[in-house]
Amino acid sequence: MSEGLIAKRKWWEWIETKKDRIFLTERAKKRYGEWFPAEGKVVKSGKEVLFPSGEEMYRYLWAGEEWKIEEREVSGEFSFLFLLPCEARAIIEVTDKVFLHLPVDKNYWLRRKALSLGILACLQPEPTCFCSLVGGGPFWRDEEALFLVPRKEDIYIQGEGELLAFSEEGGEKIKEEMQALQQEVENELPSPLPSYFPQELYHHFEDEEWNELSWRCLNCGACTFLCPTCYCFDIQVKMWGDEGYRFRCYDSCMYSEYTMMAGGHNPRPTTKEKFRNRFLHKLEFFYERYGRSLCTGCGRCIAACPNGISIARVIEELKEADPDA
Amino acid sequence: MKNDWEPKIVAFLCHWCSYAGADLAGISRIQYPPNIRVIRVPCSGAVNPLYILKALREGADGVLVSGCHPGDCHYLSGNYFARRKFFVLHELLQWLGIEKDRVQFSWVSASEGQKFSQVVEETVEKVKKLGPAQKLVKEFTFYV
Amino acid sequence: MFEQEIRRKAKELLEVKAVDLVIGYTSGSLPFQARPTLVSSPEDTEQLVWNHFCSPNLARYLLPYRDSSKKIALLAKGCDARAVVVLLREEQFPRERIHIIGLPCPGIISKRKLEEKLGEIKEEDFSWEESGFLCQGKKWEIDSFLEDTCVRCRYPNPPLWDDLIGEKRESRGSSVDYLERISSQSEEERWQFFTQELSRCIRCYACRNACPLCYCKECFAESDVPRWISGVPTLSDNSFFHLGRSIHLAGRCVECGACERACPEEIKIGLLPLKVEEIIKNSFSFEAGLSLEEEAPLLTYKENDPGEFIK
Ligand code: SF4
Ligand code: SF4
Ligand code: SF4
Ligand code: SF4
Ligand code: SF4
Repeated sequence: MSEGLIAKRKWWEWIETKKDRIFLTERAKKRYGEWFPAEGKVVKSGKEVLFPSGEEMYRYLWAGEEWKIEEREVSGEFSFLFLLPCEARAIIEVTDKVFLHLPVDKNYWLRRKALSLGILACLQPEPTCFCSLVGGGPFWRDEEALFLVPRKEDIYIQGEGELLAFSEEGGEKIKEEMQALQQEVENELPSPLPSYFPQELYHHFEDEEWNELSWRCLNCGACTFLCPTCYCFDIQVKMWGDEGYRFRCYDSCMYSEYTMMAGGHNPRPTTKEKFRNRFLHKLEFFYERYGRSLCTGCGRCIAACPNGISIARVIEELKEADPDA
Repeated sequence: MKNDWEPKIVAFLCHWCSYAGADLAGISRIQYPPNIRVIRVPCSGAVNPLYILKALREGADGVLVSGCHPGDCHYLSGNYFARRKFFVLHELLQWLGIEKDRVQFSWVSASEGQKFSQVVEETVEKVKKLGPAQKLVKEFTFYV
Repeated sequence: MFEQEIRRKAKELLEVKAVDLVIGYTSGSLPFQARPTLVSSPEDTEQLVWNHFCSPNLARYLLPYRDSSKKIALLAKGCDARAVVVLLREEQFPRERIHIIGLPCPGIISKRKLEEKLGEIKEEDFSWEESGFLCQGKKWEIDSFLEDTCVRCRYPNPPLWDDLIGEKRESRGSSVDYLERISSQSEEERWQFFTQELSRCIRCYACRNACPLCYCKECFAESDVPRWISGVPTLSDNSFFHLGRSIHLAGRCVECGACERACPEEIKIGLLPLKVEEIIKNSFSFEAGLSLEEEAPLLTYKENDPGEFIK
């Protein structure tokens, strides 16, 4: 991995900001191929790019004598996307694992293969952020991705590939500065959880606490739709007489339909069970299967919840209820 | 707009008056444009505003709802309730900027075959003027 | 302030077992936020708060108790109490099971408006007074920070209550109404505006679930048989959902704005049900949630109702 500095004057030539996201400039695009049209609002996460809220799977058509089925494939054109550590981590450590686990999700794979990720250090954590509580951090980086730290005058860059050809010398002093900056930002965030915590949650399934914690939840699902790691979907169909298509769209464990069975039985009948599922899936069930938690501490759900439910507080309260902690 | 475009109009007709009115128009060989697709309903009061929205969503260029004249409802007052519901829907559509002429209402009795054909003619004319429906129509395709 | 009095009242009700539960507000998990809370023992009443950020409509929280026999007290601003009236009128609860602690409402402050006008804000920089607050060394009137629905609110006082805490307030009912602003535009401009708003909707249904009067066991939006709309947040399906929802709330919406405040995408979604209420008020002289005797406007009719639109 190489690293260096680009003078601000220069980095503007390659990177531009738009609506709080960073994009490559026209000039860079020429060099790096087509730019991915991820003009998202910041309130949505980067998952939209790989796992859109609606997506055609195949199309069918009565062609006079027989049914014709046409698979829909994504183009898989090269693209480049800068994300904050929490969103990038959601892709690299969570959705990649889920969708690229056998059987591989083809559309996700085609998009993912063509996507180059850049990670942008997070210099202004919000009051909702708690990435450090769940193993990430505002300076979290990954081998595969370019890492940028925007500074007043210049940009610190770490990674591999051609972009670094434009960098000037870095040096030890700058490294130290970076570390100091990282320390400063991290100090603002809550301290990490004890590492045994996720496993211990297992004992909380029957807790009385859940009644209390879930009471104010209205099962609206805003939290799950905006979460960069929630990946549940439903498959539905649209028809016009003798043609139509099958597609998938987001679904949420907060909804009654989600667990509704033929015959009308619902194993998660009330808010409590749905709420518990969401949090235990995030913090425990996923951990059991993939060895990490299904939450990157981005705080989107906390900001979105109309009723002030905070996963960080749920974690704290469960921890408090745990006599061994 | 192509010249040969003909609007598709879904007509919800009440069983007791307007459907019989349409029948009479047919029996009396009164001509009216073939653009309407009739759905028979027990009463104009049984037309849920969602039916109207659904017709537009599925690609109808216009919707016609027709029932008995006030006072003539087979169920006594179904059409009075309908009138309030449709009024609200109509005003709301207009406020959102969705052409309210696409949704037409009429009272046609079982003996008004002539009026029925007039209503259909007017409806088709109005919808033709607006052109093919675009707002509210479900997208044939979306991002992949 | 009235906070102490509210706590005292709640404590008293629980102590004499006049009610089993008190639904109120407590401090939120973020600055400038209050969140709903459930108090069932007299000692816990200390957590109750009452301030300009008590935004969720608490009538919504009654619904899970529909089939229980618990007696419930709830704190109710003007609009919360109006929603309770509608619920009572729709026979969701017997009157005896609900104890309304009415709170004449000073208005809810929009955090977004605070941030727009004051930049980055911290809770400790604020000092609250009766009709405004001190911040950045200046005194501010709350009026320009109120939520849009609160600016136009005509009923800050609960229409129905068992206890009333605080002085009755003048109705604000400001003339700069955001409904009017939109109505004055051309049809195409309005459609452009709503297209922009509605296409941002992710159909999370937070608006519906925050609404005290959207209590259908199965909402048409998610129904499988028949399936009215798909789960993909396309413009057509989003419009269908919001049109359908507003129609279902015709003559029932109490103009609390809880739907709009719940929206994570900050879509001005309350405009639709509010417009429907305006239509109903102008044409059928009816406003929801003002009295238990009222007759729902779409469940009745007059022979001289507007009918010019029908051929
Ligand atoms: S659960 Fe909440 S904090 Fe965790 S990743 Fe999802 S949105 Fe972010
Ligand atoms: S956003 Fe809040 S109220 Fe809505 S489902 Fe999530 S936790 Fe529950
Ligand atoms: S809360 Fe907002 S984004 Fe969610 S469904 Fe309602 S309008 Fe759409
Ligand atoms: S539709 Fe919105 S404004 Fe009306 S009662 Fe429901 S939440 Fe309140
Ligand atoms: S939108 Fe209509 S169907 Fe859905 S919950 Fe509200 S009132 Fe019920």
